[in-house]
Amino acid sequence: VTNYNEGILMKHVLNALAGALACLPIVANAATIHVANKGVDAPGCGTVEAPCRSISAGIAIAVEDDTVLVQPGRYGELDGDDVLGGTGEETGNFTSTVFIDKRVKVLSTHGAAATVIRGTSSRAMVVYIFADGAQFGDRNQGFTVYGANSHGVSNNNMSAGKVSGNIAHGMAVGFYIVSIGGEVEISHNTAVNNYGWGIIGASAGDTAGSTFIHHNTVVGVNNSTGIAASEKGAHRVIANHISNNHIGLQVGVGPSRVMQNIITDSWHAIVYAGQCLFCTPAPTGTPLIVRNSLIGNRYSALWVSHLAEFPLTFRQNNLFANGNGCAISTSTTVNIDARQNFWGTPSGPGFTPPSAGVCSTHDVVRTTPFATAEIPVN
Amino acid sequence: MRHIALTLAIGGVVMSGFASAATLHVANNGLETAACGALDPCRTISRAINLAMPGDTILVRPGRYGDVNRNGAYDGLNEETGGLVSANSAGVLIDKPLTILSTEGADATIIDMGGITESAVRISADNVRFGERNKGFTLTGGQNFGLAAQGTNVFVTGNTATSQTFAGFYLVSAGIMEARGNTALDNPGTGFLAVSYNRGDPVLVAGNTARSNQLGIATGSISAHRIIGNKVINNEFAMAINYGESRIANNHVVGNRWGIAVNGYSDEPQNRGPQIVRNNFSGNLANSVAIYPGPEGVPVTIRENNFLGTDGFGVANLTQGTVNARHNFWGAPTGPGFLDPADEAGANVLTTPFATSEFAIP
Repeated sequence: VTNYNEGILMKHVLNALAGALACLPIVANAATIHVANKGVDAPGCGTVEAPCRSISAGIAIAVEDDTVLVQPGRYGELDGDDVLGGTGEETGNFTSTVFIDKRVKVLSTHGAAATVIRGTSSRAMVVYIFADGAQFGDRNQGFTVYGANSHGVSNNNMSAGKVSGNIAHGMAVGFYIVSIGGEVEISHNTAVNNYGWGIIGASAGDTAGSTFIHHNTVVGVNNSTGIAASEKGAHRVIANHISNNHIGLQVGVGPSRVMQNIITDSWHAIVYAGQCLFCTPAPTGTPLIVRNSLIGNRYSALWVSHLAEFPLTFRQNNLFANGNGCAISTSTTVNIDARQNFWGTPSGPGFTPPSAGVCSTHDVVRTTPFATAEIPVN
Repeated sequence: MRHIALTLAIGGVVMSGFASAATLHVANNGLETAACGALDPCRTISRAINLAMPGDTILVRPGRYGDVNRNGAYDGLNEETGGLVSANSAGVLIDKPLTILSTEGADATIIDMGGITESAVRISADNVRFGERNKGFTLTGGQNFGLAAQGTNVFVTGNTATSQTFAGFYLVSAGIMEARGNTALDNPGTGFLAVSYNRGDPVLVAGNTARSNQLGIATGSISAHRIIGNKVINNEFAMAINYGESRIANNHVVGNRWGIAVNGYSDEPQNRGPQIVRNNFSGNLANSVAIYPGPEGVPVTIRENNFLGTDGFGVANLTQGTVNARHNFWGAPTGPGFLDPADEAGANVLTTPFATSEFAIP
């Protein structure tokens, strides 16, 4: 019996080894490169005992699939002169402070609240990713980025990859992420007080590349847009919290899905232009906006341009306490399917508080049947 | 067992006072004429407070509260009415022992007073819980404060205060006062200001984030305030600690222009100076810790900290005497020095023996 069991055990061990060996070509060489404020950018740096000082040095040493692991502290521009080139400062490239040009993961050990990358006003981006499949940050393992003259984190040439767990603060655009074909993930980030856009998820060029924008927090300033999902791609914009923008969320023509977001304290919660001037051929599908809470905004929950050419599905949303009582405001001639929304009271759309109504110059907004109770969005 | 029995007895006394605790509801689609029920919520937090009994809980759904029409005046329908405490006005005045929570957290629940009142929220009662983790509020638009609190058994959790000229969180302890898991962001004043008027009434500031403020965290000199496990990042000044018995431990002080300044000011005679122990100072532009002249014979304790990548001194001594900064890690096993990766110590700073490896700071 013992021999039989040992035989079974050995068989399992051999199977496990075979499985492990099958995986080896992919992960065998994956290494971790260490970066810390106590490090020095010297030959051989990157070990636990002798970490590099700059993330750039860590990336230079790394090969594809490696992880660059960054300990707490300040990186980027270090001495306050707003110019890179000093000891231990990042090298980046001509347009960025940190340039990720390999398929690597760059993670922090203590998260964005303890790990800062300070850009410079002479370079457009703090972090620029130019490698398919690369990852910058993860939940609780991200970075705070600020100080560039335009973008916090941007990318190109990616059909997969991830930007997660980061904070971008006080620039024109917090996160500007494009996809050339697949889906790039933008999750668990915070964009605060960026005066243009908090997060942009865009399809590159004529592609239908997509982004998955989820569980981010965007707090804007006066004229900012919280999240923009471009035309063409099937972006998924899910479970984000957006506040204090001019436009909470702007969605382009295409098969994007906008779900479970809470948008408040903006001028317009969602804006839909409904037009795609450079789409050849025309996008397949139209946006689906469902199960969002669009409440407490200054003007409207949904604003649709009079130039809109493509219809919109806008259902099962909570729409109330938006400034002028117009939950939907439009003069478009395209159809808007706005059934099953909750308008603030069981009696449906109206203009007696707390009800909200439809302000449309054409009879294109279908609101019945409507929901008679608030719709859970989480 | 004796302690447990005593605790249970005290708990029983407290609970008996709140035997009929109820939950009131507030929502952006509520009405001021409502009874704050789940199906007929009130529109303002102030009305719910007026209707509540001590020990009740108020649940606030997402949206905007305060100066709803954003005209900077008390004139709109559905705006918070708040009240006055010693001529200090508040948009939401919590003057009863209550628990006030949001259902969707600070990112989705905003109290913006539009500059109408001195503070967006003021707590003037004991036994108050304002927010919890993922159940807090964003506070802005006070003339001076996001939240001002004075009392005992006051717990402030999970909130964000932003754009306040004096302080995001102004915490005056009269016994037990705790601020946990809050964020003070972009305040042109101080993120967290912890003070008390009596010894033995400390403020606990734990697990918070102070980011991009003029001053991250400040403590008064009276009482042993505890500043524990916070992330203090990218502020002009990370902390200003008045001479007193405050304990500063397990904080990450990162990327600030100036780190911690221990100020000479003291409200009353002190027996012991601040203890700055087991903090991680990384990448601060100027000095990570600067000691200014204080009460004679009252030393500051600076031990078991990491000083990493400071552009100025790890510890700068601006007094006439010496400063004891032994057993710290200075970025290199060789101790403080001028060659990277070591951080320097200023003149008249005692550094030996020093640690030869980094301290683990959670």
